[in-house]
Amino acid sequence: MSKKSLTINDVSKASPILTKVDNEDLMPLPWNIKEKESKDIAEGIQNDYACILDDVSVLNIPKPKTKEEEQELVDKFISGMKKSFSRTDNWTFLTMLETTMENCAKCNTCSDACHLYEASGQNEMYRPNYRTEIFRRIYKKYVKKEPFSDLRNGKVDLNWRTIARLGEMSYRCNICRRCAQACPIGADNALVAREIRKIFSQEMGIAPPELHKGGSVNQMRTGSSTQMNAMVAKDNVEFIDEDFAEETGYEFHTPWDVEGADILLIHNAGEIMAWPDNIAAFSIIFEAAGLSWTLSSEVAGYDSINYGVFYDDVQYARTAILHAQAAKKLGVKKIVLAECGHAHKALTVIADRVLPEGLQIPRESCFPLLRDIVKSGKIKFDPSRNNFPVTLHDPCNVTRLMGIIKPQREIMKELCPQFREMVPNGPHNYCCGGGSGFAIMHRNNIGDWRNKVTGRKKISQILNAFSDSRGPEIEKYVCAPCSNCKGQIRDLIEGYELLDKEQLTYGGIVELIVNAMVDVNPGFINWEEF
Amino acid sequence: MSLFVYLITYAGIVIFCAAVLKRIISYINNPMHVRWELYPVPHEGGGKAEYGGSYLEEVDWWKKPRETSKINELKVMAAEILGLKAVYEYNRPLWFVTYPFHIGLYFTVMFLVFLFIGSIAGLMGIEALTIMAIVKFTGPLGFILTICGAAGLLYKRLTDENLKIYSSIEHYFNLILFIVTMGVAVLTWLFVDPDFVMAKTFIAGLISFKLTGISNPLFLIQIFLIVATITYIPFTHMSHFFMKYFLYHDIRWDDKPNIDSPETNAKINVVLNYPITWSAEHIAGHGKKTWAEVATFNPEAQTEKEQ
Amino acid sequence: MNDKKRVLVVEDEVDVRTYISTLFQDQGYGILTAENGKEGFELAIKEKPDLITLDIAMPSQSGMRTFRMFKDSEELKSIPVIIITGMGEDVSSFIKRLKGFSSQPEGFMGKPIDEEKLIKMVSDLI
Ligand code: SF4
Ligand code: SF4
Repeated sequence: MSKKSLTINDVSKASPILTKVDNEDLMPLPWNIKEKESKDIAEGIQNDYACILDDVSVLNIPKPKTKEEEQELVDKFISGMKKSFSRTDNWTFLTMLETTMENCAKCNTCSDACHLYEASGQNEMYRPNYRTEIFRRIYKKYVKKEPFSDLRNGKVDLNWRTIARLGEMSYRCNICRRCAQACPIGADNALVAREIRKIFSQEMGIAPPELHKGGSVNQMRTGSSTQMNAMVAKDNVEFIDEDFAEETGYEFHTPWDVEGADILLIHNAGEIMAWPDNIAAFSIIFEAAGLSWTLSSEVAGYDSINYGVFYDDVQYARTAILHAQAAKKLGVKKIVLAECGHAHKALTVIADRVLPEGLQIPRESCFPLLRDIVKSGKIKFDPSRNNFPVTLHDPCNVTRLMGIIKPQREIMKELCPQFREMVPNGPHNYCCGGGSGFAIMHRNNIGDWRNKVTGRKKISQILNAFSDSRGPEIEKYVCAPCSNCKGQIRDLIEGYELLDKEQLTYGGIVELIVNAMVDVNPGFINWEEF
Repeated sequence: MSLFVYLITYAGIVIFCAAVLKRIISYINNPMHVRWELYPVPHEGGGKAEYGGSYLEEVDWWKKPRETSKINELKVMAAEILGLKAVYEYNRPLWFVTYPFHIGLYFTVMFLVFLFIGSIAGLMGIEALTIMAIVKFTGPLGFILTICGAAGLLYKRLTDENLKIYSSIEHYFNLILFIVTMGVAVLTWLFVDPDFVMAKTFIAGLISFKLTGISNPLFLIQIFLIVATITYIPFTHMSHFFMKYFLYHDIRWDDKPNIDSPETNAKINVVLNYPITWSAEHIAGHGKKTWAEVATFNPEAQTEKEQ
Repeated sequence: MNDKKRVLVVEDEVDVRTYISTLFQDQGYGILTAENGKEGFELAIKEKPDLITLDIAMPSQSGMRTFRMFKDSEELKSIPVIIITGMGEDVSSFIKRLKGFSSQPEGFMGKPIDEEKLIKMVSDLI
């Protein structure tokens, strides 16, 4: 039985908060890593937002001030829920939602698959089925209006607390779909979390600021969620070219807006300023391989992010279309997605049935292309330059959701003599804890929560992968070929002080490739402060 | 009395078929959904399925022939259907009770199928001894396994605090219904119809519309319960016994890409022309009415220009 | 005041430009404005302001390049620059990371602007 036992109806009770994960509940970490004190929710926001779920506030639901506002919150949610079950308003996911509503056996087989449930010491609120069950009971009673719903599906008390907590709870899940993978029936609790997020965004206009206002809206306005307009992006990349040409001793030039190039490469623009090494490494490899390629300076054409995937189908579709339009304008043969997992899934898989005719430019992942380049013999490598322990993180979007498993590993095996796997890996990997948008959130105590709960399983996997090479004398590298995973893993390493204590650093896969290139000055990867 | 049970049986069969069909048709009639596959996808060929790989692991994958393997898919399905592999792997304690329950039901279904065949044979004057031997074997085995499994599941739902939270009255009712139905079936077998002769006669009567002849009350109660249970199943989450096919094939394993597919493009055209009524400002605030209009419109670019 | 300190505000958006200018004016600073990087650079050369605030996302020439030009210019490099941007901390880590930038901005202000902090920052610098 879980330590923090809750019933479904506790969600509606007038308690100050529903639950809380205390340090003593947490799953123990290997190596006796010390837990840091985490911040409380900032005082100011508790007056403005409904912080009644636990000690974190991700969605920031405005706190209803009057009875009418409370009722409005409930009514709007129900009106949105109706649209979730409409074949026109939710054609995208209706089928998956309905089947999950109708066929779940409530067997809890999915629970142990969830890293949040495990990390939190099996806190009931984190059980994949908990939020789904609340959603399901509301649906059956108030939307589907099933006769005898209380008897058949169980009771639910519907009040503003139920809704506020359910909304916030949809942001206590990484939407990594590991639970769905374990489900014998094929029900999908991750999807339900996402559908709740959609109701809040698409119907009620409530979404985390990092995803909506500061994310997808910025991207449509300035061209990139980073707020870099095309001019800034181009200038910055030019500076990167200059700097890294000097540093590496390898002359290269990143091409922009080349009409008729074979490949349009789209980076997550966050890389440009946060990880310029990654941008440079791609350019060096593509140039060395003699590819015909280009970046685009169109709106969204230089930023592959598509946060709609995390919370809003409309923002999703708009962004996917902008990406395709950028490619069409240049007349490229295909789009290649750089190291960004959610962008991979958004544009290659989901967009497959969203992009209208005329915009269906072929789209592929960078990993097979990089694998082919590494194996082609066009570039000379010296793997001994990568002779340090390396482990590989699998971004959920690339592996579990796209089945791209082997190319990364073939590169590792070719170039990293001390490569070792995490357990489990591939399609059965664990999310880094930054999934579904969390990686870019640092507000209040969200960073602490990510380190303590969502990233807990990942950091213990990483440490276990290096159990034979402990200590600050041995330089170690976590390869996380995805911008969001990288952000999360950076925060984990910083939070647990693993660079100092264990010489543990992180980066993408292209950095490892360039680090082993004979034509490049040694030392592309370093273990300096980040 | 016997006529009444016959009529109930016909009605039950019709309702069962209608309910199953309704679910399937309503599923099939849903609009096209986006791709949302989950790996490993077992029909991936070229050894990819084993490690969870996909055709997306190839450069220019749209130009390459796709290797798929039906055999692999069937193997995975067999392990799932016959072994309840997912539960075995992820929830072993539950498997020990749910497995006998499901296997019991499979034997019961086999029993019904062979009884049906035996009855037809009987009507044609063939004795069909082997078939009746299978009937005699599968029936009692199925009933007893189902009872054991259902009792185990009931015990778990009543005692396991974690399952209790998620169990409704319906869960308990369903399990008790199975225990009672199968219990009566066992009693009938033991005391009334050890060789399933009566059952065979009843089914033959159903097929040939000779709605008379059986008067044993226990037997009639048994028929009534079985019919009621079967009729009831598609109205509950137990509909997963057939819906699982779609959940796996049409969602989890649906990795079919759109490479100039006129069929998919036609469907895209349909869904993009659906109306959209979500009320949030960023969707509803611009007077756009269809998905196509909304999705091809960049509200942010527009406001810049308007300023 | 004859030696009224002068601030050059380089910002493309009219509203923000006016807002920052008024803020400084109220503090008794003299104001120069430019709506893009090129104009800002020329004005700086001509007027030698005491401090420059600089937006990053501007059309025609980015604030990043303008910043480099300020710091690469013998005449201007001693003038403190405060970067005002909604882009976040990554801007400063980027400038730190790249050797092409000869020096760091003297101040860094996110958007929305924290007035008090900005005023303090300016008065500390000039
Ligand atoms: S989602 Fe699947 S595994 Fe989880 S409780 Fe429902 S049926 Fe069981
Ligand atoms: S999607 Fe991932 S994080 Fe969310 S409930 Fe499932 S396993 Fe847990």
